[in-house]
Amino acid sequence: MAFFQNRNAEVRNRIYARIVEQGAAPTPTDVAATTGLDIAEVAAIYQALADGHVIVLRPGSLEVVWAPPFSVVPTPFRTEAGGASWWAPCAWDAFGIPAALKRDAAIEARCAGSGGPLTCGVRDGRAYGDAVIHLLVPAAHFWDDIFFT
Amino acid sequence: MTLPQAWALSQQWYGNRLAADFRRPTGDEAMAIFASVGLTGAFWELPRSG
Repeated sequence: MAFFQNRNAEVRNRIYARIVEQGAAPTPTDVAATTGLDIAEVAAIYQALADGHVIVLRPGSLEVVWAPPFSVVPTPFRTEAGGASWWAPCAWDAFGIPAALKRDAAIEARCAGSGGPLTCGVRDGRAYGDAVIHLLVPAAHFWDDIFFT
Repeated sequence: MTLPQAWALSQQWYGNRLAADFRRPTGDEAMAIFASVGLTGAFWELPRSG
């Protein structure tokens, strides 16, 4: 079995790396195959990462749907950076992608009120666009129902 | 929040998300990040234990 000082971090990093590179999340089987860790242990780490609010799994499964600020399932928020693009779980996270990647980005989103298209992003390290982000759920309850938040 | 606030918040919240040694901020650390970009008040309060 492979040795990692911090197996949770190793699994988390594998999940994020695959999403950044391919826009898709690895399964526990994928991670077990590439790390040499036992699949049951990887599955337990997936659940621990979800319990720790690091990733979000499809309910009742070990399928990663979000590794904030990235989403591997379609959302109304799409961020393009460096010739690649990713969905984001929410408007805040759409700005989180250029923050995580440390590069400029163009964001395409839909206005929650009108449904019309919004264009904003980060250019030369500064935010542009004139939208306002409304959060409906107080911070202490973000994770009570993260899909609603 | 305004887009400049969202960007400033994102840089602090997600700037180290891809780092090998990333860890989530504690409640106190999170509230300090919120406050640093002008997000204060009851809406932004978190349990202090983290």
